[in-house]
Amino acid sequence: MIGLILYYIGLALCYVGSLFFILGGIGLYRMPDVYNRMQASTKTTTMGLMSIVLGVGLMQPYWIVKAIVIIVFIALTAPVGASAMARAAYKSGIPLWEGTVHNDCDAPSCKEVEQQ
Amino acid sequence: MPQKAGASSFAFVAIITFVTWIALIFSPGIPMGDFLQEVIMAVIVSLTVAALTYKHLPNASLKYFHPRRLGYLFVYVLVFIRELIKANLNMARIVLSPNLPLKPGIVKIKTDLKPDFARLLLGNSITLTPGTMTMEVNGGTLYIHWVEICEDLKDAGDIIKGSFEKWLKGVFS
Repeated sequence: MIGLILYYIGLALCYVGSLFFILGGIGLYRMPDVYNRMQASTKTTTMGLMSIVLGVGLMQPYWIVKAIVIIVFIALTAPVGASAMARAAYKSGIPLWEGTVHNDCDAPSCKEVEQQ
Repeated sequence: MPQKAGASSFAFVAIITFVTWIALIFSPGIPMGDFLQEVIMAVIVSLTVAALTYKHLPNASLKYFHPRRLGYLFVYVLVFIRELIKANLNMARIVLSPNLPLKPGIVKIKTDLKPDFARLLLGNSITLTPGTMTMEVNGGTLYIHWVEICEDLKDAGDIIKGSFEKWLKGVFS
C-alpha cells in the first residue's frame, strides 16, 4: 500500500520535473539575450532534474539514497556551470540586451572587455 | 598547532568521503556480507583520498560537525529548497507571460563571508533563487545578473542575499 502511494508521488514528481523542463525550453526560446536565457534554463533544469531524480527514487525505494546523493551533487555543480558560462559569455564580449537598464560590472575581468 | 590542523582536515575529508561512498553503495535490503565488504572498501578509499588531498584543503576541519553548525546547515537547506521552488514559479510566470516583463541589469553586492566555500555556497544559492544569477566573484564582491531589477539599488544586497548569508555565517563563523 505505502509502496503504491510512494509510486504515485514519484510519478507526480516526474511529471512536475518534465513540466519545468518544458518551461525551460520555452524560456530558452523566448528570452532576448544569452544572460536571460542562462537564467531561464539553469533554474528550471536544475529544479526539473532534482524533481525527476527524486521521483525515480520514490518509485524505486531501492535507489532513494543514491537519488539524494545525486540531488546534492546537482545542487552543488549546476549553478557553478551556469555562472562559468555567463562569465565566459561576458568576457568574450557578447553584448547585453538593449533593454538592460543597469550595468555595475567593474571587475578586472569586465574591464578587459571594455578595453578591447 | 599545524600538526593538529592537518589531523583535523584529514579526519574531515575521510569522514565526508566515507559517508558519500556508503550513501552511493547502500540500498535497503542489501545482504549483510556484501555491505561489510563495501564498508571495508569505503574505509580504504576514504583514508587514501584523505591522505592524498588533506594538504590541499587547509580549511577543512572537524569543527564543521559541531551540532550548532549542522543545525544552521539544516535551516539553510530548508530555506534553499523554499527559494528554489519560488524561483521556478517566478521564472514560469515570466516565461509564460505574453509580453515578457524583463528589466535586466547587472548589480554589484558585497558579502562579509570569508571562507571560499561559504562564498561558493552563497553564489550557488543566489544563482538558484528568483531572477538572479552570479556572474563573477571577485574577493568579497559578487556581480549578479538580475532579470527584474529593483527600484532602489541600495536594497539590492538585502533582497538578493535574503536570509542565506545569515545562515551561512552561522555555519562557517
